[in-house]
Amino acid sequence: MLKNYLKIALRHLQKHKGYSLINILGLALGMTVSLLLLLWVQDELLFDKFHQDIENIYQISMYDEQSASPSGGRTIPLKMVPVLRDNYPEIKNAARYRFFYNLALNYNDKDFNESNVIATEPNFFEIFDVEFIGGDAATALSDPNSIILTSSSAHKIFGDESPIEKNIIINNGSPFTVTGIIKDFPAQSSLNIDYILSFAVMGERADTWSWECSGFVQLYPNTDYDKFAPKIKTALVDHSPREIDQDMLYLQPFSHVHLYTPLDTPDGLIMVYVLSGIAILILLIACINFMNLANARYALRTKEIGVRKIMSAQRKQIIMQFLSESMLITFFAMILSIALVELLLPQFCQLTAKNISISISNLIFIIGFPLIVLFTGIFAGTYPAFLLSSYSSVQIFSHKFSSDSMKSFRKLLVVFQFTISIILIILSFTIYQQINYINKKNLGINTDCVIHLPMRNEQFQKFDTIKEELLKNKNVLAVTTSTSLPTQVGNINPVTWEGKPNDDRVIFHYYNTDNDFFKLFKIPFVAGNGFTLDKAIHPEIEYVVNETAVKIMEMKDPIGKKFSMFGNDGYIVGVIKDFHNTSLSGEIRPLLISQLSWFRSIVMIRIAPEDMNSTIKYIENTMAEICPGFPFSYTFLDESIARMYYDTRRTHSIILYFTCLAVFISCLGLFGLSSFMTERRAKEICIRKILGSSINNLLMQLTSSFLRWVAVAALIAIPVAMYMANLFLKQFAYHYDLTLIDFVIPIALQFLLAVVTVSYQTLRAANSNPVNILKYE
Amino acid sequence: MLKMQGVFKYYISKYRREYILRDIDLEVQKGEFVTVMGPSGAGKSTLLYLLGMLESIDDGEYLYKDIPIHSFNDKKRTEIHKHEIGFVFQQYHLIDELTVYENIEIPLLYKKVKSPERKSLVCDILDKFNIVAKKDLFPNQLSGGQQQLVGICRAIIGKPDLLLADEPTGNLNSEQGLEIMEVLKKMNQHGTTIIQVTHSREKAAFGNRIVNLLDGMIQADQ
Repeated sequence: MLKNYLKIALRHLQKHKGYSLINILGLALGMTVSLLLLLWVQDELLFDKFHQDIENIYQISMYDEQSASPSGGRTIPLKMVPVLRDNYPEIKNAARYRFFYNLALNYNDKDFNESNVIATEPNFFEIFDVEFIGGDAATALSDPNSIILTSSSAHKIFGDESPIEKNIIINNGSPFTVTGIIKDFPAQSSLNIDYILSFAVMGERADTWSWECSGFVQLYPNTDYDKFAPKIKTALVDHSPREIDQDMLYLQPFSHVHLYTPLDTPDGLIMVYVLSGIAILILLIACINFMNLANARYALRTKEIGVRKIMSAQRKQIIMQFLSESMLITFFAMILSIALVELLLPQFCQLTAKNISISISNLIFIIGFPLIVLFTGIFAGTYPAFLLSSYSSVQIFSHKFSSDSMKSFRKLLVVFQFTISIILIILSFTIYQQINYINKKNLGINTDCVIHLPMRNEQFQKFDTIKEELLKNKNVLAVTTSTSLPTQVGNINPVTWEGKPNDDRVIFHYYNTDNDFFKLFKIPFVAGNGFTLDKAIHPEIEYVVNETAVKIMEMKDPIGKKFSMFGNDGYIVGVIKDFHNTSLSGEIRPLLISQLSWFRSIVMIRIAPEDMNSTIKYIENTMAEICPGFPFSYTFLDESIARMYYDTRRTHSIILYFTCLAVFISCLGLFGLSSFMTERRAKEICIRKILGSSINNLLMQLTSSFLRWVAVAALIAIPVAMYMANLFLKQFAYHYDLTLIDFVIPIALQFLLAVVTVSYQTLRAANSNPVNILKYE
Repeated sequence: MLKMQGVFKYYISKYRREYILRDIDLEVQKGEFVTVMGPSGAGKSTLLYLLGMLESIDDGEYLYKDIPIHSFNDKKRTEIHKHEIGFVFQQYHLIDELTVYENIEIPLLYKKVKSPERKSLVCDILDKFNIVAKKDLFPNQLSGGQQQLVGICRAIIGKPDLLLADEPTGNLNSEQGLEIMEVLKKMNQHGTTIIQVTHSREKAAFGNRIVNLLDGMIQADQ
């Protein structure tokens, strides 16, 4: 029996090739998209899950209870971990680690600039699943000058040589001996590490309360976390010798690290939901196509149903037949979509900046794929199957059944499809507008032709010489140093000032730089001037604040007022105009600038727009001359700023691609449906033509019904899209404001697409010779 | 075998009853070859559908093998369709996507006849009607007469007691039409009860009884 069903299904597919192609292709595209997105979602959710004991591993986070903002986030004092280890019996293991950026590695005169370097303690390997290929986990970090390499970084530096016991020079200093080789961390790891140093490199600092590292703890398996959390919350306050430390400690489950912020808000998870939603919507659009086309086509097969019924087929047998038929088509689509997934995966990985590989043993293929096929097959086949099987054979043969209910259902589905695609177009348009807005937004500082490069300690020591040499070139306009970019000021500190009304804790962002900073970025002063650096005038520290800070302090005449940051007393000597000192998703923060002798890790240089290449070459040579042995790398500040919005851009390109696909799939369905409808109305078209209707008239007549559906869809889509677009824009403190045009353009686009899709078929029908068609009637 | 008493059939259209059949009294004995005649719209086909239990009667009584059909449930009716009644149509109603062989096989599939037995039954009937050579052709590759032969094969492969034929020769030329009538006559001689609907006096002559229908009522029964 099944053989008979399949045979007839296959022959139908063969007979209506165009229709089959549209159907299978549309479905395959929909399945491909949802599969790719499912793979992405799976990849996100599987992050870090390869660690055996993940349920008991926690990342230490710090937060400021009073200001409700993270003070340290994942940064903690160096001494915190040893204190936790010694005082809380619930903790089985704890390890601190510190990241190093822009480390210069040298082996056999080959230079490497490396960033994924951590220093940590041997306990690290007891907490996490790290597999040693060479060396021993217990002893590999016992010497302060030891280094562990991942197999790929070992290959990068040593090629085919055996790296064990070889020496690598770090930052032009002492040699580090390779004591271990570990397997690469998998792609789904939030610990992105290429080199591991011993925490002993921190030297005696490791025993201080300086906020410089991060840490993990591993609890005993039977620990009740809810009871433990309040106990450990005050760990810093309880054990810190300093009065100033008020931050609360919080253990964030390690399984949350990837998708949650340090304070456990699920930012990453939202994207997972959004993309899952899009995956389902696109699959739904493809299913609706299938359903509509099947619906339309099956109406031509009523005769067969009538015959089968007279041959005493039961209703359920007819339903089974049509369901197995839609299953068959879905199956073909599945085969095509497996091929498409294989083909598109590299591009998709590039788009999402992920490294996803597929294997047949992946759960998505074993369970997900059959489920999608089953769902699609049943979802798409059920309605026509049940409806068609409900007619009696006599109704069919005497044409006494109406397909009206089918027609209105079809309309409903098409409207639904249009609604989704209009919403997606509007959203992707909104994101585009926001990105444009960010690009054009005046940040309050001049970032043209500014490059920045990393600075190591040795370079910092000789910085005055370097600066002097650099400025000798007339194309080097200004040079300054700091610890971070001015658009990403992350360092925050508690402050007090003269006339502060109460003891409430107030936190300002702090930026350590020098006088040339204001000149380089052309930041105007509202009051006062830069640092005088004349101890005779100001024996204490000089501070410059921004307008926002003045507003918060409610200071009338700030110049000369006493001010103190974290116990460092001084005076306010200047007020600068506000500039955007963090990402545009946040408000401008109160900013505090001073010139302390603390280590600064980046150099920023403004160069003349002329002859930039040779200027940069000059900078490279000068740096190498004064401090040889460090690899040179530079970045344009504009590039770095753009990179801050990389996530938004990526979200946009993902949504843009999938919007295009969704629109394409729904157009495909519209194309199929319109061809079917014009085919059915061929006779009507001919008679109208014979009676003297012009082609334009016909076109209007035939497309107007489709356009009506788009109009209805637009009405439904606008409020939904408006709500969602606003939700997206609200993430940014500074954002684009939606205008009418942001809705008009997407809807007009959808109209245009619908007209183009439908016109092809209608034009063909309207241009056909009436005699040819009527002859066969 | 079949007995109708005071049967009415109507459709509701625009809140008015439109009678198709009125007060039909008809009794058919086993082994008869009855022809129902009448102009278009007289209700011939509806009568045939009622007799075949494809449609339900609105008033009156219909006994099938002495059992009133309103006592049958859907399952019982399906059983009767499967085993006891065969249908032949003017438009043949073959499934275009299936070959001759596969079309004839359908009723056996629904009767859940095992594959080897199915094969021999279909081959027997193909042989009997001399269309073995056509078994792998599709309906549109056959002449009208051949298509109707296939339709008849399909109707009788389940060995029904009763064959209902709705203008079986209506779409055929006279030569093909006569051939089909000969086939029906032969089947009747082998014991199958046949009720056919036709316009043609000539075709009616093949049967042994003619019922004349006009405006939904029986005019003559001879």
